[in-house]
Amino acid sequence: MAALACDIVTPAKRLFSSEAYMVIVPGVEGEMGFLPGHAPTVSVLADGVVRLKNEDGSNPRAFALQGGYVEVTGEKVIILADRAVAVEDIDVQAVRDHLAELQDEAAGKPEAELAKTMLPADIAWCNVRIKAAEAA
Amino acid sequence: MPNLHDIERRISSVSSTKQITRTMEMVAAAKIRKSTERVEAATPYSESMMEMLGSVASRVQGGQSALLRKHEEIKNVLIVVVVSDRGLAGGFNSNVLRRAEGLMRENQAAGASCQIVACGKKSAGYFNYRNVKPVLEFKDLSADPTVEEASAIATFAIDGYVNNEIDEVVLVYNHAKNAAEQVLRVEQVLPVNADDLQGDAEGTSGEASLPGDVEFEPSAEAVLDMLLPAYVRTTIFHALVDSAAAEQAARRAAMKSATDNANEMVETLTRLYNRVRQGAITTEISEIVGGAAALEE
Repeated sequence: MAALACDIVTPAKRLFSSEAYMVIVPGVEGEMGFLPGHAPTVSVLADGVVRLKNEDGSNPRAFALQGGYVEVTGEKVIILADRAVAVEDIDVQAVRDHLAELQDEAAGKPEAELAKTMLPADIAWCNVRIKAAEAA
Repeated sequence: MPNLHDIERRISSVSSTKQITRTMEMVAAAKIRKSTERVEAATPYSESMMEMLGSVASRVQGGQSALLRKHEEIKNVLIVVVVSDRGLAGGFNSNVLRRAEGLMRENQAAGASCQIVACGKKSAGYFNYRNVKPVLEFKDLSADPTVEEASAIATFAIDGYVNNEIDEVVLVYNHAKNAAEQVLRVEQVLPVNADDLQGDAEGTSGEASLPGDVEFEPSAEAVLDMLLPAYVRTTIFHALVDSAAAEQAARRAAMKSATDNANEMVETLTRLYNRVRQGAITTEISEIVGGAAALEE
């Protein structure tokens, strides 16, 4: 069976490295699916969910992802994510609590000051994870 | 001649210092492993990033992206100084700080003003003492650098560079060459050196990971514009992690030599103690003998 070697790396560590038949990523211009033998592609990724499948549809895996890049060659997919986490590792309640905290913190600040902090990105990351966990 | 009691006190003081330095040595040795693991974990990302960027850069005509373009006149230089939060690591901090100050002097002599980003308590203290107010300060993170910290520095640098407020960004840090050796590195982060990228692309082309035609989505220029800030962030993060590993290694080496010196000192002092003690006994005996002889007469 032909397969794609799929790596998901974040700046802090290599999150995942294994084989899959089909890899679906959230590109900035819409979702893209890669099968073995795909033409070499480099793309910017949006926030969303990366899904991996075997040929018979078994063993599906999903990762929530915020921003990043994907590089595809015929037999290899490298996903460079700014932040990523496996969907089954998401504790929705904890993320919700964290989101509420962040929103409280952000509420009192003017827009210009907010842009300098990591808060908008953190809030977006919480939303991505909640959405990913609920879709699963 | 010092008296016995003084020597005894010094021996016990040196041995208790030795206990501290030996413990610190062992703690640092244990932390080296953890921090080297982190460097290794961060390596795949930066390698893939370099590879991707190299292949994109070789397909896009350079000089278009704001981050690749050199500013004609260098008026404002941003120096990112990466040191540790704690001392007792030998020349680890002072090497970097001295070099950073040297860079500042050079730039000021050339007519450019300098801004400092201080990572680690030691650098904040150093520059504040010299009346240089760092534009950004990061504390309590040197042992455990985060991606967020790197992002904050990168965002500040990139914004400044794009808005022409900063003309050059330089990174000064210790690179952990191996567990025993640290090398001081000065790297130019911005403008991104396009020649470096091309060189790397050729260097990795042996693997031919992206041969021939590659599709870029949305477009090659757009991908490059997105990749460059991420590259800057990665470079800074890598420097922080690298410096954290170097810090532990430097501390271990410094504490090891401190322990060795303490051992040597205890040995010398013990020898002196014994000699003084023997001398005291000899004097005492000769006094007794002398006294006895005087009585006999």
